[in-house]
Amino acid sequence: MSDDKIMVLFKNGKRNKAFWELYKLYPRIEKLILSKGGTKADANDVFQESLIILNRNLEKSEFKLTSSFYTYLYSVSRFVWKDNQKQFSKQELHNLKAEEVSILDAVLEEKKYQTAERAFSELGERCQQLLQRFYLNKMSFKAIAEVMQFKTEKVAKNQKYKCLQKAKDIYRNQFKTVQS
Amino acid sequence: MENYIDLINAYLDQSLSESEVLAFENRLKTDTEFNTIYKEHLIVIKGIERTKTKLEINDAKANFIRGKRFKQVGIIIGILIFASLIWFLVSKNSAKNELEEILNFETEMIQSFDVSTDSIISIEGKKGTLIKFNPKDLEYQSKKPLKANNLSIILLELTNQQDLLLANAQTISNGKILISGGAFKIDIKVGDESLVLKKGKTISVKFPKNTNEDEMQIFYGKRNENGYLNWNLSEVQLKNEKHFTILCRDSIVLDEEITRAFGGVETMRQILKIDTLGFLSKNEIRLRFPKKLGFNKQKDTLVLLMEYIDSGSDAFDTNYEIIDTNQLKEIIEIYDERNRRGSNSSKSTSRINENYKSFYEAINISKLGWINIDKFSNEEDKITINLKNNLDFNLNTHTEEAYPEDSVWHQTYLIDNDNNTILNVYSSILEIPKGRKFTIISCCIVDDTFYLSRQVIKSNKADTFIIDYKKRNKSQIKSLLRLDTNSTEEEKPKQKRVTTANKEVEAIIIEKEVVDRKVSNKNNTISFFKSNNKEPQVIKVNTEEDFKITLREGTKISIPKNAFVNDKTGKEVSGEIDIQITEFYKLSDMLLVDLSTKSDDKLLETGGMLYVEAKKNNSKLRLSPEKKINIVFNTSGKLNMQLFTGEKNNDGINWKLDKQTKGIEAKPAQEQVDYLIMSNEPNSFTFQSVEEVPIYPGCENSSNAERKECMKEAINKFISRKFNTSIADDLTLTGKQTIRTSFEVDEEGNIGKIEARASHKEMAEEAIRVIELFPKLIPAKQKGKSVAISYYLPIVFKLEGETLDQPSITIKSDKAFIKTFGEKAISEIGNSDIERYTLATSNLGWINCDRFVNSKKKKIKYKVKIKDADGANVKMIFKSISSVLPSERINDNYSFGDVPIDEDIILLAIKKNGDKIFLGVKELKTKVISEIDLNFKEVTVNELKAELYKLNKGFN
Repeated sequence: MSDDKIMVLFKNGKRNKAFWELYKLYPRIEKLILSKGGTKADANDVFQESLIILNRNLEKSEFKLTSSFYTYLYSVSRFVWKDNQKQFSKQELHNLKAEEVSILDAVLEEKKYQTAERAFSELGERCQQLLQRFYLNKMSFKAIAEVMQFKTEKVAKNQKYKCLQKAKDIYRNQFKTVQS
Repeated sequence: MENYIDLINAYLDQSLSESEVLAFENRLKTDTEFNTIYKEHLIVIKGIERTKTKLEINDAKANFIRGKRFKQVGIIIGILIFASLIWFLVSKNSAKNELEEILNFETEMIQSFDVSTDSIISIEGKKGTLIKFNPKDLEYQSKKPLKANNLSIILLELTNQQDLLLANAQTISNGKILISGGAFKIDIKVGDESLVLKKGKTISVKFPKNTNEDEMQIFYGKRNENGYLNWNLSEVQLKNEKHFTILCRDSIVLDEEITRAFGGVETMRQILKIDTLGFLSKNEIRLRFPKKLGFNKQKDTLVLLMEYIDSGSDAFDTNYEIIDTNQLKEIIEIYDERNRRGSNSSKSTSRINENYKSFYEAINISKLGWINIDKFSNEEDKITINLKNNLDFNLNTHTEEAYPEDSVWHQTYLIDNDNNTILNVYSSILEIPKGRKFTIISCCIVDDTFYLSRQVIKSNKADTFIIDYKKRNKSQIKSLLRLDTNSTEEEKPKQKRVTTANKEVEAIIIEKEVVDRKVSNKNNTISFFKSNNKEPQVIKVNTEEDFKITLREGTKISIPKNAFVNDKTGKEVSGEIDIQITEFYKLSDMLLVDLSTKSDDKLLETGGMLYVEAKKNNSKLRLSPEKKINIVFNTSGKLNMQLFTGEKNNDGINWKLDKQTKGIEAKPAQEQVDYLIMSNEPNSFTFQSVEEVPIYPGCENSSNAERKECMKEAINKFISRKFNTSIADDLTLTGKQTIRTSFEVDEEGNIGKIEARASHKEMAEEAIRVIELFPKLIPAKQKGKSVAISYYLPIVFKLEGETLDQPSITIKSDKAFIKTFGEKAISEIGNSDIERYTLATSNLGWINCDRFVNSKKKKIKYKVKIKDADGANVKMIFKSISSVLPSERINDNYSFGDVPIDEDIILLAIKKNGDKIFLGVKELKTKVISEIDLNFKEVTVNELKAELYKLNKGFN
């Protein structure tokens, strides 16, 4: 499938189908990671991360894909892997090209979200469900209260606030440890 | 805090009013604490969002992997279904396969060569096929590049009917019958995987020439699911190889000078080692053979024979043949010659006999696999025959659809007894060419019993033949498939073979034999000569262009464009036509086809004969009335040749002077325009330059200048008196006529080497006649010594009327020849006088470059009784001139008409009795005799030919 068609899939929100198409590129990315000393599991993670970054960028209105999906994913994967391995030398960072800088920015930005995600995953299951329902599924507190058997809307809202605060606390702590 | 979050949520949900949004964004800029909270909130939400994206990605991944698995599983299932299908078919066809396996001896004939891939590969098959290729041009069928270090080449050479039969290789191209000149299979493999040629790459293959059939083409073949081959015509052109042959693998050039200086101790100047076997390109030859050897003569390829041994001995590698440049050249020429004429028995050449092979020119083929050298069988009348069998099953088996219920798998071959053609039979109704003999071999397996039938049929009329199967042991098969390969050469009684045939067929064959015998008794010798026809050279000519060619034995022919018309319709033909020319310069060639040199009752001396035939699509052509073919005969040293055309019948050939012929021109004269430059080697002295001119009788004046003037005058007077001017009147000539002549006054004062150039042959001839009448002169002198001089003499007439520009021709007299005939001086003239004759003919057919023999000797009627003649064909060969006289036979008395007395002749008689050929040869002088015994001895065809070749030496 051509890049244009995949782009249309993204635009129409058919991300599942689009990811499926992009997975055809996986063997080549895997090769790259294996050649850099990674394992198959590493390759899997790196590719997934690249897809997330791609997806996030595509949602940004100011983002424009200037190369093919493959080239983009390849570069992103390379940076993700390098970043994971903490292999960037100062010299290297200094010599990056403009497009590479934007990719590196995206990779570094995504790291924050990664941390947040990890924080989120440390919440209790009920908290996670609640937050996902509210933020991802855009459910109202009323509906959430019904589904999750909270006594009232208010209880649900209160509970959600507590869960979010907890996630933020964990994130803040984790971020600090990452920073230090 | 909680309020903040509600506010942020509302902002992100875009549920705030315009003013509230402005207030919110303003606060983000000013309130850093609020900003931090907002950013943190965003990050956490994005983190939560990641979980969703991850889910989606994992879903997609799972789908992707599932799809891949499904594909693999699908392929495996597909393969399984396919395999089971094949298994099903195979088990169904087990009888068929068993039979195919029994009957196909292909694997036994396979030759396998293991070679390394690091260099260009060149291999030679047992039957001489030469293959040369670069391993880099090969790849796997999957287009993967070749990486292996070793290749195996599988070669199958099916060069005769027997091979074709044993390998079940039928010769048919999409329903059209082919005559095969050999089928070949070339496979190049790594392990079990066959390789193919890369696109645009070819391998070079040189196929042995196994047939005398001309116009062979290359066909690529494919076996179908039933194992039947079908051939498709390719665009590859096949030509007979023109080559020189070197006998030895290594040549050593002897340095004669040093050898002589060292008292005969042989010293080598150069050792040439040819370590690559096979055929070489022009450049390779140049590299291997430096200039010194003078190999600039080679044309396309040079065959280097790897062995130079007597048959039976195999110690050759230490046995270098020492030859010098000239010898080497000579040998090359001999072999070039041999290649044209087949076997020869001269001493130096016999050693190579066994190893010598004839080839087609190397060709480049782009496909591996089955390759065939074939030609389409001529379109012939066909008849339909019906085949039945004694086991009563349906012979219609191998149609595209399923087999009929009552059919049995059988393998049936139809073999043309006269051509190299083999067909598979899979239908009970066959269309076959009419009037030919075929061998039908058929095998089948019924209830585990093996049956075979073999019989000969003749396709005279539509008929039904019954295949009479007999139980056979499988182990006998190969011997039962044995064909009598000689059957195509001569009709031999086939009584033995008929034993398996049914009575009906037997009767047909016996009848045929009776007919054969009758014919052969009647005309035994005639049939012998007919069977020995020399193979003509076929030249493809495009009629739209002028065409020139030099034939194998040196005859040059030039054909103007649009020269041919259809013999029957008289319409001009265009496009490509075939011209068949046979050259007869050698006595043996002439004798073998019953040619002689006689014009009515006059003896001719020949300078070569030709047989020319033109055809387009098998319809005969003749020359259009205005057009002429120019022929330059490869004859030297014979003057005054004329063109004769011949008519051949069962009693030999009679030549008639071609009246239409424009005349005879010495070839160089054609290029001269104005002044006569003689083609004779000019004498170093002329009438003008010599110190003392010759003295004409009556001119014995005192001074040289006076003698000169006197002689000029005397000659002019002589000519005006003797020249028969009525010739000019007969020719209705007008205006100024000039005949330019030259002659020689030799050291003894004789007139010779007369040449005349005029607008008409008759005028030139008259001038020569007059000059020949000149009296003997006192020879010219230089420094007191007698020398020969050249004299140039223009003869000018003034006739009434206009002077026209006319082409002129040159005639040469041969006074010396007439004078010395009988004293065997011909060779002397031959050496001094290198001349070739350009003759223009408007007739095709038999053409002869001849002259009448004007012997001044007494003639006798030569008549002789020959002992045990038995209807032999007897000819008289003159040892001193190129003449062959036929005889007229009344019982055992042979009459040769008037012949000069005391001539050295050879009487040569050939007779045929049954299958045996007898030859009688006797050398004698022409005298009146009554009876002679020629001591007939039995000879084989080859021995006969060898005997005849011996006679060539004294005949030129």
